Amino acid sequence: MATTSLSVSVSGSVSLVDSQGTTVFSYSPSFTSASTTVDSALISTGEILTTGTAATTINLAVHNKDLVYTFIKNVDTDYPIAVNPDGDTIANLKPGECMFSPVHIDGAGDASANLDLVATTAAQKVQYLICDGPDTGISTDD
Amino acid sequence: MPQNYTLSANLSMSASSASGYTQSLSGAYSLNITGVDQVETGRKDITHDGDITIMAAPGVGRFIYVKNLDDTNFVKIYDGAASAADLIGILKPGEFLMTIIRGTGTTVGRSDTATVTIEYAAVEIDANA
Repeated sequence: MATTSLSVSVSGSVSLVDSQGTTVFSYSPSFTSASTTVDSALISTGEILTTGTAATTINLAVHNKDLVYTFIKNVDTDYPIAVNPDGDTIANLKPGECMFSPVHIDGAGDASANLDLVATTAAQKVQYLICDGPDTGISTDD
Repeated sequence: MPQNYTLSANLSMSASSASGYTQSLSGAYSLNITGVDQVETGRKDITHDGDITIMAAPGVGRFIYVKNLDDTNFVKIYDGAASAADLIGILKPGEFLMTIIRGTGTTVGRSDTATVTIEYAAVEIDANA
């Protein structure tokens, strides 16, 4: 159990403009997570080189797998990468693209512990920031 | 005739410990989208007793943004039916996700214990985007 609280702040924006210059929609969401000590203990960050087309694992065994705030960015220049927590594909990112999601990776029987990155063609560099969140209360990802 | 679009997105995340340790990451990108059919956006109620479709199956893939506007219950967002266990994200009140999935699954939501309202934007993308 952590004795020092942890929280995340996330912000973003997205807009869609058509070929006539008309803005179809524009959103600017943001939130700051609840600051907790019980569930939220760890921050992991880094840059990793995926190993070709085999899954490259970010080991989350010591994280709160019930909820991890997950930011992934493909910082390479060549090929897409897939983001697969617990075997589910939650993103396919071409070079320069990024994703964010609060991810539940317990899996059946709470046995899963990994977030896998899979390059489609050859090894790619990926940056990540993963932070524990408060428990959701669900025991598997259904 | 399907329209062409430019989607622009940026994201920033900062994780902070009360100890003073902070780590941040950010990114931005744009997609030039050509000749697609589905642009879904607005607000929608997501029930807890069945899947609610946010976007029908695209031909190639889609950009997805979903924010939980509820103040009590969380909502789960899936790639395909909830029973298929492809959970993209689980959103507590006020939280959002933003991602790109180059796959042909239907995007659905299912809430926790009561109906919640989401804000969403789902845009079909072509193979070159």
